[in-house]
Amino acid sequence: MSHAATAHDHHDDHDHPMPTGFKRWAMSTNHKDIGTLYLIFSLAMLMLGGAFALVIRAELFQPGLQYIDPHFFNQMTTVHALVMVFGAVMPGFVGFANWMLPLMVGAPDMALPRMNNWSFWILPFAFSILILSFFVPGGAPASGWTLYAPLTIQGGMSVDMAIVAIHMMGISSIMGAINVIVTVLNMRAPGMTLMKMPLFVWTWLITAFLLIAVMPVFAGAVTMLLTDRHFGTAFFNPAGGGDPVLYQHIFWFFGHPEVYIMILPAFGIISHIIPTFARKPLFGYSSMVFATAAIAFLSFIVWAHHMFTVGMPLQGELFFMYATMLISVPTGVKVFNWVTTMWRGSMSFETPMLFSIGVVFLFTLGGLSGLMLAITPADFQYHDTYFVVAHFHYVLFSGAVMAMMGGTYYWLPKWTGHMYNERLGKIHFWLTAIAFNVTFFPQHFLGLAGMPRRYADYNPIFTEFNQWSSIGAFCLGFSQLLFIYIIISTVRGGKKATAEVWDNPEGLEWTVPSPAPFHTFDTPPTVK
Amino acid sequence: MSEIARDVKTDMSGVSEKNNIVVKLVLIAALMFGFGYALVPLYEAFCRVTGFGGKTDIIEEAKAQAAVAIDRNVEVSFTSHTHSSLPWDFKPLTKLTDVRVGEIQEATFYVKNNSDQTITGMATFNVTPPRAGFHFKKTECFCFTKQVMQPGEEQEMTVRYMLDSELPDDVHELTLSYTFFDNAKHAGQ
Ligand code: HEM
Ligand SMILES: [Cu+2]
Repeated sequence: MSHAATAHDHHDDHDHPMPTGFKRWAMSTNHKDIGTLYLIFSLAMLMLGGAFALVIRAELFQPGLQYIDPHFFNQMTTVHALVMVFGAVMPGFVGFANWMLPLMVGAPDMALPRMNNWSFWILPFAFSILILSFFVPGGAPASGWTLYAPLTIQGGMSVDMAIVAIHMMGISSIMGAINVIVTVLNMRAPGMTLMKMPLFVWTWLITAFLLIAVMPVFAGAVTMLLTDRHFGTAFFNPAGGGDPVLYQHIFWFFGHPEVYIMILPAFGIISHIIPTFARKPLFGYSSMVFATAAIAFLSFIVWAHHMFTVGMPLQGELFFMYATMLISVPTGVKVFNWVTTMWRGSMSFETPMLFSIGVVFLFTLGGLSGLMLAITPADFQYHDTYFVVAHFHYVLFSGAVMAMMGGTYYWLPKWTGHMYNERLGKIHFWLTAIAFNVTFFPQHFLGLAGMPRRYADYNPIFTEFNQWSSIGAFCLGFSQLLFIYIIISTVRGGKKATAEVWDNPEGLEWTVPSPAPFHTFDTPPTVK
Repeated sequence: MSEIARDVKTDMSGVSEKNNIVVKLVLIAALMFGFGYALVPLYEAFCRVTGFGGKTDIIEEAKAQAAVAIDRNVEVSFTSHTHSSLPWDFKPLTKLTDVRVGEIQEATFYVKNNSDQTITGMATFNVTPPRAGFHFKKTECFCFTKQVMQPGEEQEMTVRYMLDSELPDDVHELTLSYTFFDNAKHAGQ
């Protein structure tokens, strides 16, 4: 890709004054402002969800019941997961998309700026409804984030509130996805063909299609739950001839693509960072694109690996086992490409690179435990134990969340115009990576030894590993205060960042000044 | 949401093309919402055709009569449950039978309504191991319809069935399990 693009000062043909305060933020249609809103929201949700997680870990520090009753414990696990998945990870990536996609494809803004405003402002309302459900009789939903019927047919009104909130989050994500697709397909700078698009753009384009394909299916599932609860239908209600296992099928038909929705943009981010700090172009660009597409396609035919124990016939178990293992092939291609990009590169280890290497290493560990879970007969042992909890935190925290942290350090100078404090950034990385492993590595052993997930109490033989895990969790949680401090102090000031920020990075976003002006690419750059 | 419509209209570049993509994407989303619902009958049909999930099969009496019994015996046992909100007694009178494959059999269940109200119940059923379900053919069963029980009423309910000769060789025993639910209240709160 070329760097021929030039930045355009915005004041020439826009003589309206820059809006401020309420008008600027609440009615914003500017992709950068909306991106900032999304990112702040995501960070706030990360802290909220993290607080719930610390309640869980405090209770599990010792066997027996210490601080909270089991019902509240179940509310904590449920709302922790809902907040993290729909509040922290998904909006976080939408924030990155808003900020970076127009800059990366050389567009002046997202294609549908007013819809963009809507899709953000729905979220605070959705999450207020979800959080308010703590205060209704019976408390928040306590069924686990998967909201399995028939348990959720019986819950109190908080289940209805969760359903409404999920509908709102779903609408928000679908609008966000439509915006991404139209922007990418319609607003690329002249000369930027599909196979010249940066990988973050590619992974988001594919993610957006996944979102449009599966968020409505989830909306359908929770709507069926709602009508089962209140309008006498019997989709999942055995009393009326319904089938609870059907809920699981529909949920996971959404749920498995959903986990890739949460990881593909992360793959995109580290595919930008690694080449910059290895000072080599990304190895195997087109195989990266095809691997992403293959993962997305395969993600539709593996859902029942979450349901190996429901009593599927042998043929079904075998099909889903092999299909699941097949996904490791394109995933392995990606890992190979990242490692090969680093191979013999002139590497330097600034904070974004540390996070990216952490992601490659730790995500791969999570993929490995995923493969173990995919072995049907083994999964009968591991299913619904802490081994699963360890697996998905390796892919989600040290995959998705750490990639976002790396991305934040990578683009923060572009967003704010200031360099962050490199020493603090590195400290933040090491604290996070070490505390993360102390928290979650022991959970593998707990799971293998048979400790079930989603219980407030446990057999005393599990005490020691749980104490490690709880200590790690508190360190992990409080380390993030450092992250917030670094971000705030970088917004406030710091060494001036140049337009390029890093050592000859690739991409149009580095051709505009830092901080990126309010309006960029009013006249599109040309890509050779 | 007219704001969003304005988005689509007022932008300067490639208006109709953009319009087109948005309309298509919204359509895909709507179709996928429908697809979620379509999974319900698809799943039903899939399980009926393949017998996956321990669903049993229904055949006509005449067809069952015509089947030839073969020299193979399978142990069939019956279990029953009621949902906790349903004040009924429900137990199998036929607990365990040695069944010849291909022969029509009957099993009887005792049901009593212990409450002072008329209640409509509905039974669901399941065969274990699931792969045997498809070969468990019923000609008659109280589980096909809703059952109305007067206060204090007792009844014996029967199911007529046969095992077809394609029952997998490694199945030597199977269990048919029934659960009665309160049909008016469904699963109950
Ligand atoms: C090589 C790739 C992967 C394989 C083979 C794999 C396999 C599996 C399997 C078999 C389970 C079910 C375990 C059980 O419940 O018994 C599972 C659970 C899970 N996986 Fe993965 N996985 C992979 C990658 C991922 C990725 C990339 C993510 C997300 C970014 C992810 C997120 C999850 C989550 C959230 C669950 C637990 C869901 C729940 O029950 O609440 N996995 N995985
Ligand atoms: Cu999965």
